[in-house]
Amino acid sequence: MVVYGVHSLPYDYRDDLITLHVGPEEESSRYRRVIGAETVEKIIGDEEQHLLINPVEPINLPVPLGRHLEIAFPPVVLRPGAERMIYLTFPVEIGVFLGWEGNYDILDLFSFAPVKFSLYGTPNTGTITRWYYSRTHGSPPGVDRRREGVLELTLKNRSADYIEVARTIFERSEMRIFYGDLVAMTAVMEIYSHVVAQTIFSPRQAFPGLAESLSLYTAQKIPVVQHKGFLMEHGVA
Amino acid sequence: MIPEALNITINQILELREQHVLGNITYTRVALFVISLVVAFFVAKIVGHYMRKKFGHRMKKDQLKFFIRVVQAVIFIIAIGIAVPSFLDVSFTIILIALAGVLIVVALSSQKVISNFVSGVALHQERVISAGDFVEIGGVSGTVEGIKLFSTLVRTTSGVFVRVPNDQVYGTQVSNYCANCARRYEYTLGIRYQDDTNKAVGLLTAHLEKFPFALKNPHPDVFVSDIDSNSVVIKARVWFPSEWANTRDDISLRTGILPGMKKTLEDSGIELPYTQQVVHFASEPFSVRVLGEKEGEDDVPRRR
Repeated sequence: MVVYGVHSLPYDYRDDLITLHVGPEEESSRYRRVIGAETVEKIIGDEEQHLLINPVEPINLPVPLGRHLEIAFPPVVLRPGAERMIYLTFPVEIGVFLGWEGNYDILDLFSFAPVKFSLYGTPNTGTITRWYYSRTHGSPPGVDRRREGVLELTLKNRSADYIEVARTIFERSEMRIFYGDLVAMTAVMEIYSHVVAQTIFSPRQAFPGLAESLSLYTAQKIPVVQHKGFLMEHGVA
Repeated sequence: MIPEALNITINQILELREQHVLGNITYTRVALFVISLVVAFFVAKIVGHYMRKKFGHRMKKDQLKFFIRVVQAVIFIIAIGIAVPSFLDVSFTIILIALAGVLIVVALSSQKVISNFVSGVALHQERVISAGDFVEIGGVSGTVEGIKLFSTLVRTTSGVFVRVPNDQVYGTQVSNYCANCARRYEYTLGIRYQDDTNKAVGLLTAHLEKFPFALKNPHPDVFVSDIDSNSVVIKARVWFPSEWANTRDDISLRTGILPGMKKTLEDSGIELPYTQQVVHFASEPFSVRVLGEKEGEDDVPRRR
């Protein structure tokens, strides 16, 4: 499995999906990544000593369209005032960063997860989302951490009605991804009606022993307006 | 101690203060007039800076720039309106009359320019288009580079730079392909009569489902739209993210999707028909009367 974390150079890795080589080759240092028929090769500085590999917010590939991740799942019915914790899976995108502590920059980005886009809301007021379908689990599912991460989602029905929930949407600047033996996120979805809900990422780790990922927008120093959660205004089912 | 030469200069300046330049206008008044204009200039600058800070994140860059210029021009005009009667001994009525005269002359001589300017203001106000949008304006389609005071600049997909006067933009039909975040495209294919239409619809739906940029929601809509003389016509209506679709022109969008749809059908034995016409002859033998034969000579027409 791809070893997430900081690696000293030279670095070589190979498994059934990917071949990574970073180190001196033909009078210069090179980065080479091979996935199937696709090869990415870059010449890097000889003075580079460290490489960081970690999952990043999964909305960048194949091209960044929008800032939201939508996870659809089999409907969950919540009674008024009920709280329920479910486990979903989300697609993983893997970022390869070059640099040193506090000053990493993106070198490569790849993913083994399928890509699909969707529209949440109407064409004039809605938003384009990276769409992913997940089964609903009562406990953390075993997943291939190269392809999928585990999302611990707490559903809170704040309304006075029975609510059917079948989707959740997150904003990129909010995402806090942790990695280790698995890739994980923790979030809360507060449902106010059949139409309105708010999703907020929790800063706490759902699973012990995980490290926090360096997000792509932080590494690229993209200025973003930090929102406190994402307000879903076009339905939850 | 002030040096004598300098003392003379200061005295000369002090005397000059009260000297008349024109009529009752003294050098002091001229100086005050100039100072007031300089102050107005700096006030306009400060207001522009404040507007940039206040509205920078709320308005698009080109719109903000346009409005800052308008506000700065207004500040300058007000300053002139106050300074001229105060320091140059010209009554406000005369200024208004002069201004009206100038405006009439300008309006008559440059109707087109004013029309373009006003249209530019209206375009900014209505926010129909803005810089970066992919638009079609009266047959010109491309990305808006900017809306200037008198014209809108468009870069077409073929890389041509087009300047469209603002009054033309305002007076014609404008299609903005960026106003909504998703756009729908329609693809048409024909299959043979003997092919299974339900199977074809299912195959095309599944193919479009796999295409990452064909939106999951709204779902691709595939249906039999017509039965024409050569084929059963199947249409696919697919929604794409505008941001993605606008980076491609219509031709590349069609050439990128249609071959995949055709291959999907052909791989399953469903063929696209050639343009053809099947002519059926009646089962009864038909008769042809041979011209030139004498009528009544033979009641039964001869067969040829």
